[in-house]
Amino acid sequence: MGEFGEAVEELRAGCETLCDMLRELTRIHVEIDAPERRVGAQEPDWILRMRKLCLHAMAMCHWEVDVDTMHVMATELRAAYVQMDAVWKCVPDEFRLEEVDGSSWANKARVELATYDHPTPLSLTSPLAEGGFGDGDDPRGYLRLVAWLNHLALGYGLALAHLARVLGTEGDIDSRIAGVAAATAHALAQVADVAARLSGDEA
Amino acid sequence: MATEAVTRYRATVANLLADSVATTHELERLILDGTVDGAHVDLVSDPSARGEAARSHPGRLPYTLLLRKARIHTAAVLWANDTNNLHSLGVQMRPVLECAGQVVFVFHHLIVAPNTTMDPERAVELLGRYSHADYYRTVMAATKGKVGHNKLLENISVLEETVAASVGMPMVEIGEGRTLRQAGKVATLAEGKILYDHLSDYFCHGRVDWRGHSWLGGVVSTDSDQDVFAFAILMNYLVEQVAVMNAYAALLDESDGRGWVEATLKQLHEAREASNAVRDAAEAVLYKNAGVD
Repeated sequence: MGEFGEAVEELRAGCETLCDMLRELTRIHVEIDAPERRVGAQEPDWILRMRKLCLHAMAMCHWEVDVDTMHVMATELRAAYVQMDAVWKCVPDEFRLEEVDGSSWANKARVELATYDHPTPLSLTSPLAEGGFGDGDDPRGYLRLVAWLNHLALGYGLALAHLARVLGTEGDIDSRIAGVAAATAHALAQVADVAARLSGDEA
Repeated sequence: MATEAVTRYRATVANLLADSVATTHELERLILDGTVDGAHVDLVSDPSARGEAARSHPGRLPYTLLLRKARIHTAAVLWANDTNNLHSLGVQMRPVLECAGQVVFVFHHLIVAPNTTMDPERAVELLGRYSHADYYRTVMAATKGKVGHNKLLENISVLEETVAASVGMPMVEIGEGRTLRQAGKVATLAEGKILYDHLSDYFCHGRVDWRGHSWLGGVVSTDSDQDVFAFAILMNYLVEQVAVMNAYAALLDESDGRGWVEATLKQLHEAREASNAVRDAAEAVLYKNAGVD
């Protein structure tokens, strides 16, 4: 195990937990808006964008987190963020949280995540956190992945709560989404400890 | 539900793609020789071996990284196919094309063109422009613009002079050359730009016909003949490009006479023949269903 081996394992575990949460959100999504449901002509595009978002979330949650799969996940995350950028504009204030900055979807897709989609020989020698394979298991890379997954889980969960209202879904969707949000927060708190240890090490 | 001919076409192409990407994995190992101090190592799973290999073969490492990147995203394409997720396939395919296009560009201008179709100095100049733009963009992105444009160009110029002098070549005038357009990376692939733009428009940037066919990014239909055909036709294109990438990458390993270029070209021809046969049958079904003679 390398210099940051223990931190890397903890961060990977955090990513896996967040993927579990996203997977749960996709299950809730399919209950709210099953793929075989006929879409009305007047239904707004954001509902269809959410279907696409669901497909990208399903794809990213398949992988066990490591250096290679982080590249694959980043590509799915970017596509999901592009959709969230449009969906978020249609989410009313009552479903919004201060923690979710509406402008961050497009910014992260265009800057941080784009590097994984546009490889060059030199960019691939960069560190994992910057779109390359440069230093193998890099805790900073997994820290970024935690942040991206957490941000998506939070925004996706809130958008799903709105979707359930719009489509008139029966059952207590809100409490299920709140359960996912609580588990996500717990995973994030554990990762925050690792991040604090890492920054202490660097200092 | 999709008809048997269309489903068979999709399954055949997926198998061919799996074969091509297995070859990519082999080439990754072979290009860095897979050998450090005489012992065979797994360069993919052993980062320390990669570091050692990079020290022994500094010029080769970036190109094996392109192969690695192409391989992992192709594996994601195959998974997207297995899970009937065309939207995932569409986004995962694009980085593969960028990698394939760059491998073909570099090895064409490094090895093929100077001996066949192009003045060697012109080939070197084109490679220089490409490296220059790659360096500029990567440093700018990594430093978030903290390094000034003029300072960076100055550094690049010093580096280029050093490299040229070290191999006894005159310095080639390259100019600023700081753009590296994403679609330009696939320009060396047959129909590369058309496919790349299609994937960008309909799968990546949301210019989508949401209620239309899935190959136009739509999300209301998943298992019609047209949906299944879309998986097959996109993967068929990818099979060709991964095979071409492999053939060019194999040029680096040709010195020891292991015949990888020949083997990869043979794989390309066999893939074409196999996929053409099943594609014709699948297309016939689509035309019949659409009422076209």
